[in-house]
Amino acid sequence: MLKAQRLRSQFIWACCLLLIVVAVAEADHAVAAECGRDFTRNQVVSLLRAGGFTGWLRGDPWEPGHMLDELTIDKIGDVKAGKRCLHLYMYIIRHHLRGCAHHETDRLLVLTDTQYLGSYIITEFPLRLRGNVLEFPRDKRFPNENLGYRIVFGPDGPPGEIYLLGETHSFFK
Amino acid sequence: MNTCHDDKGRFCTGSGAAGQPGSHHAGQATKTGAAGGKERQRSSSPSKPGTADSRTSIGTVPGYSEEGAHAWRGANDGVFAQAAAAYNKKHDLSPGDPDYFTPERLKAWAMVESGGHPKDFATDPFQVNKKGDWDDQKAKRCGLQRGQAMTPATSAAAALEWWHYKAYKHDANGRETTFKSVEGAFRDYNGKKDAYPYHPRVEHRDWYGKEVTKLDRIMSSQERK
Repeated sequence: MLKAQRLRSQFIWACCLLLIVVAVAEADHAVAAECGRDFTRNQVVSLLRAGGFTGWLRGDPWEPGHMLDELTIDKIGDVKAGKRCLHLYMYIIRHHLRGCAHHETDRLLVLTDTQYLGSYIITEFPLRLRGNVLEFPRDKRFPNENLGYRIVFGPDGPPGEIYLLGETHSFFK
Repeated sequence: MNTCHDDKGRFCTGSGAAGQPGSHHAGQATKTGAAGGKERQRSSSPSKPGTADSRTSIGTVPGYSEEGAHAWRGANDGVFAQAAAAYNKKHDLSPGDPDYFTPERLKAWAMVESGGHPKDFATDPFQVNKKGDWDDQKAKRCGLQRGQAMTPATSAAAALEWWHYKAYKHDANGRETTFKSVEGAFRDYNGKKDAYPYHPRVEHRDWYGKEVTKLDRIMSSQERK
């Protein structure tokens, strides 16, 4: 009798454990499925505009004589930060004023499914995305110095400031 | 050598970037000064931002004529001399320090940035506050506001602070650790990674760093003579 009760109790515990495992796997799968989402370029631009992006986008006014050489917004990948899925995009603008030096600004854009969260100015293009870590190439001029080569997206989402290649960069709109 | 270029990345000629007749700078500038920008700067009275101080002339940057319609290129000499002096004082720099700035270096830099565009040379000669390039760190480190109206004085002061930041590697606490190099600082100030027909297979930022330092060296050797 006692043995049967113990077996039943163990069975109930095993069922509970199984349910928990299945629930967690489902949740993970749900986030992963969302993380696989791709925006069209227009959707990204709409999210940037709605989110108060401070960079330049096609259609924005510019001073006379200003020339846009290139503007690209390319997807890097997706990152799970806690329960949220973050979509990472690379924004590159190359421009110049007639008769002036050519300039380039590169930003790492961070979006959720529904909004633009902010961006970091970055000085080199990322190397690879591994899990929730975005890795950058080392500065060949200073091969032995630890200058910060990674951005880690933890459960709290994008860090407010990052240390990358010997510089500090804020997360801003 | 004139390093200005048109919208297709081609070189302009020395006279290609014409000054604007009627520009408030045209005709006011001191032309081709000889040596002694720093010495004269000490004896000159403060000049209004963006206007020429007849007693402060830095000299002509090679390839950037200041003759006739191009006289506007000398119009910020007084401002550049003051900005360089203020920057050196703020950072306690003396001649021989790698990040010490002479007026000649500042002017050479300004020519590469905006030596082909009289209007921008009169407002933001260092192109430090352009819509496409905004970075929140510029507010923190240079005191700039996004979209603020620029003058040569605010442009020079902010550009020098931004250059200084770019000149050093920092640790994770923001402390300066390693001075890159003068050329490396200019390289990272510009940041542009693609190449152009006038510097094939060389990233623009590398070309830019070399170009400014080359002009600076020529200016400095002229000053010594």
